[in-house]
Amino acid sequence: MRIFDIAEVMSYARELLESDPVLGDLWVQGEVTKVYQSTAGHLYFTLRGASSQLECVMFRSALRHVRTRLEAGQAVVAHGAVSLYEARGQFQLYADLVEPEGLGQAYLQFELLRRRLEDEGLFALERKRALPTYPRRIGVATSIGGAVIHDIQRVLARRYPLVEVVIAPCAVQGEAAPREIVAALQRLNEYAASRLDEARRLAAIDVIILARGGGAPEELAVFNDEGVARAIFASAIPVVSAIGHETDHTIADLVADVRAATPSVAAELVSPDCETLRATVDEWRRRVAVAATTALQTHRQRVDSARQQLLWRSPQSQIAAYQQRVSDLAQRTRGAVAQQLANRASQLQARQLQLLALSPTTTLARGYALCYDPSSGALVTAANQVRPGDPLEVQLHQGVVHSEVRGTASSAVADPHANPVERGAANGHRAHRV
Amino acid sequence: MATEPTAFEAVFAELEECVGVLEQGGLTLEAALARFEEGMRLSAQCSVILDQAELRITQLLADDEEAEPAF
Repeated sequence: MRIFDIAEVMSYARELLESDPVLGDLWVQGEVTKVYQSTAGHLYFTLRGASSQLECVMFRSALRHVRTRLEAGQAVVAHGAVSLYEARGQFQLYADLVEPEGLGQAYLQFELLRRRLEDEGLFALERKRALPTYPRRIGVATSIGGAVIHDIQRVLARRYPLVEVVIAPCAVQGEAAPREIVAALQRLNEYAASRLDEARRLAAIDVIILARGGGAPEELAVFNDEGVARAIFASAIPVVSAIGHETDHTIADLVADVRAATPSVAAELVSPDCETLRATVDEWRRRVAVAATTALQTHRQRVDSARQQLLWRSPQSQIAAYQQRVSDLAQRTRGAVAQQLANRASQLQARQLQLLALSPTTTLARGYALCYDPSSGALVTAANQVRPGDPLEVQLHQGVVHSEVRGTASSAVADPHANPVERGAANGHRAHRV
Repeated sequence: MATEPTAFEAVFAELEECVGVLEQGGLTLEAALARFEEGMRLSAQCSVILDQAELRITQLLADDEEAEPAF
């Protein structure tokens, strides 16, 4: 016999409960009683059946999915795992979902998977990848029999026929569909990986469209399959979902990088429009021509301006400037010479006037006379220069008197009127100077 | 293995770069004229690619390793 410690008992029982597949993934229904939320944010409540009850706890992390407040008296369906809270020996349900009764199993399963995958980060916005602008290859995972593939081809042929469409056929409804969709996605990824252009880092397939054509709404379950969701998540190539329904989002839509309402819309989302590209090419061609013309004009202007500068710096203008200076200097020289000549002329005139004032002629006019020796032409200024009988020419103001010395006296001039020279008779006409 | 689809994007990007370089200016006359010729050539090439493109379809079958032309 072995006596157990309490902790050992609890631990043993807990492991037993947690290893049970039914208790580990349990759906249970009942009426809510005794709802209590702890300060830590966890929700504690009791589910009551006809004759028994089950303690439940919903941790804060699971509570954030709960949109409506849980209230006592509600009939609900809860999902979770049963285990043992050892500290209190409490058998309880660790609930991850509580929904009002009557919503249907499909909804409950969808909701449970949605919450789990959301918690795992499969829908995270930061994980969503951008779609290629100019795809080279577009993968399509869809049924080959339906109108879907033709719609996609038609849109791509019109918008962007440059692309190659790689179709991975798969059933999109029926029991085999989830498995085939997963396989198709994997096939496209393997195809892309095997043709990866390492040098240019170009994926062989740029984007995948996962599309479903028309079909019964209940077949949407295929796209709520966990395997399909994980295959989309695992795809190295961005996935556009086109499940073909407007209202409800499937799990596949939530995991996909982009959700399109229809396959045609998906094809438009992954392809640029050829006509827009044509217009852009035309526009760029025009801009190239305009820019080149502008460049040409710019260079022409530079040549013109260089020529202009050359003209400005030409010796022609310097020569003209020198010519101008020479002409100026000549002008100034002429002016200066003329000025000097004028000065000299006026000086000369002044001297002439002075000379005129000093001229003996003026003196002669006052009655004085000049006596010359006619033989030598010398002026006779002293009496002892002549002897009686010598000829003497007397120059008067008007005319000359030819005379002869009769006698001399050597006294100096005492009286201007006592003229020692006897005046001869004027001969009445102007005599030549000898 | 199928040939690589025509790299429209590369030519398109080259043309865009050509426009940018020319419009920025500051090129020598020779460079500007060379860019002009390049731009004309690239735009013509883009037009040809767009005009002559024909959608290609390949099927990836589950059982078959090879990609086969479809339709």
